[in-house]
Amino acid sequence: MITLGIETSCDETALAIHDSDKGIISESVFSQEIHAAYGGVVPELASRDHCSKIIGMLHNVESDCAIDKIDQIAYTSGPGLVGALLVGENFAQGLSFSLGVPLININHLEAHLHAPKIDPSIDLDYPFITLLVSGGHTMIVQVNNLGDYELLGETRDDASGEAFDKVSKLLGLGYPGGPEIQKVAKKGNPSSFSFPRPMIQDKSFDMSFSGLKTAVLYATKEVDKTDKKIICDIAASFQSAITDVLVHKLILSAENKKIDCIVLAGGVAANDELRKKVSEKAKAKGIRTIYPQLKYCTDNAAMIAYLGSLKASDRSFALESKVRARWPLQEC
Amino acid sequence: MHLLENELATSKLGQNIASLIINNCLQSSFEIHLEGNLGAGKTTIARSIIKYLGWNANVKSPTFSICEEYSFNNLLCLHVDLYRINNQFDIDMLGLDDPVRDKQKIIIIEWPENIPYKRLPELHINIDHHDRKRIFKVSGSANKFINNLTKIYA
Repeated sequence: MITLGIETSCDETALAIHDSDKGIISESVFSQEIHAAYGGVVPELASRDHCSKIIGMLHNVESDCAIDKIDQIAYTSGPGLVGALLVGENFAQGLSFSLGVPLININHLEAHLHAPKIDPSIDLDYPFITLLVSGGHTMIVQVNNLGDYELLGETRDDASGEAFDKVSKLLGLGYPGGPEIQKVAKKGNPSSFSFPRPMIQDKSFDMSFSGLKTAVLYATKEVDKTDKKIICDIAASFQSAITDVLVHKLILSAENKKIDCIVLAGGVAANDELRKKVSEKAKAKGIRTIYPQLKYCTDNAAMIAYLGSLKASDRSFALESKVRARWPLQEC
Repeated sequence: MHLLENELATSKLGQNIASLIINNCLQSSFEIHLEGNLGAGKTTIARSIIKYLGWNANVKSPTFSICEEYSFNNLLCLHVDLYRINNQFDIDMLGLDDPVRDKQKIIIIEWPENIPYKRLPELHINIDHHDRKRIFKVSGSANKFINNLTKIYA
C-alpha cells in the first residue's frame, strides 16, 4: 500500500511517500526561512509560503513514485497554525477528489511519537516513553500502543523551544534560538551563572520555563551585553539549566513507570547537550535511549505518511474540514 | 503607578481583575490589554485571571499558537499573544470580534502594541520591571471597573 503524507502545520512544507513493503520511498521538505527576520513564525507568511511551495513538492516526490500509484493520502489536521493546516488539508482533499483515493487526517503529535519506528533498523517495542520537545510543545508521553497514550507531564507555561527562542532574542542572537544558543554555548562556561532549575524538586513530571527566561533577563541586565564571552557564558548556563530539568523529569518518569526505553523527539531533541545528558543518565539507570534520525525529529511528512499507513482503517472520502488548532493526544 | 512586590503579587493582580469581572455585571465583551517587556509578568497575570475564572488545567503560553481558547459555562475567554504578529491580516484572522452566542466574552491580549489598527480595551495594564519588582499602570474605557481596581491598590 502506498501512502502520500502531507505536513504543513507550522513552517515546514513537507511531502513524503510510504510504501508498506519498502518503507519511505520519497521525501521532500522545504523549511521556510522568511520568518527569521521576525524572530518567530508569522502565520500569514507561513500559509502563503505553503501555498506557493506545495505543488512543487508534489513534483519532487513524483519523480520517485507516480501519483497514480498512491492508494491513500494522510495529512496533518492539527495541532498547529490553522491557516497553515488548511493549505495542507485543501491540497490533500483536492488530490483525494481528483485521484479518487481516501484521506486520513493525522494528529501531528501522535505522528512524532511513532516517528522512530519509520527507521527499520531501530528496534522499538511498546511501551516506551517519549520526551517531545519543540517550539510549541514540551511533554512526556507514555506510548503503550498505537492510539494508547498517557500524558505523564507537560510544561505549565512556555514550551522548551520557545524558551530557547526568547532567550536567544534576549542575548541578541538569531532565530530559531536552539541552534544559535547551542553554537555560542560551546564557547561558554555552563557554571558561570547559577540559573534556577524550575520544578526540579516537584514530584510531578510537569515542567515550567517561564521563570528561567526571567532569570536570564535579569542576568542580561547586569552585564555588558557587548562582551561576547559573557553572552557565551549566559547561553551555556541557560542551556545547562533547561537540559537539566528536561533530563531529570524524563528519567524520573521512566523510573517511576518502570519503563526501560525512552525516545527523544521534536526539534529541541537535536540539541547536543540534551542528547549527551540523556544518554549518560539513562545509561547509568540501565535505560535504553532511542534517537530518531535528525530529519525525523523535526517536522517532516515521512512520519505523517508512516502513521497514515498504520491507520488505514480510519480513512474516508469525506471532504469536511477536520483542522484543529488544539488537539490533545488524549483525544486521538 | 502601583508596586508589585513579587510574582505572588502579580498573580494576585490577575485574581483581583477576575474577581471584579465575575462580581460586576459587565457588557457582553470585555477586553484586557497587557503591555510590558519580556518577563514583565503578562502571562502570569493572564494565567491567574483564567485560573480564577475557573480553569483547572494548565494555562500555557500562547506564543506558539497565538490564541488559546478557554470555554466556561457562561463565558468564553480568549488568551492572545501577539508577540510574533505585526500585521492586521493575521489579527483579523483570529476572529476576536466574532459574536459568541449566550456567553460573555473576555479577550486578554499580550503585546497589544503590535496591533496596527488600535483597539480600545476596557482595561489596559502597563506592567514593567522595577529592579526585581514590578510596577503597573491602569487605564482603559471601563471607568467604574478601573476605579474599583485602583481602590484595591490605593
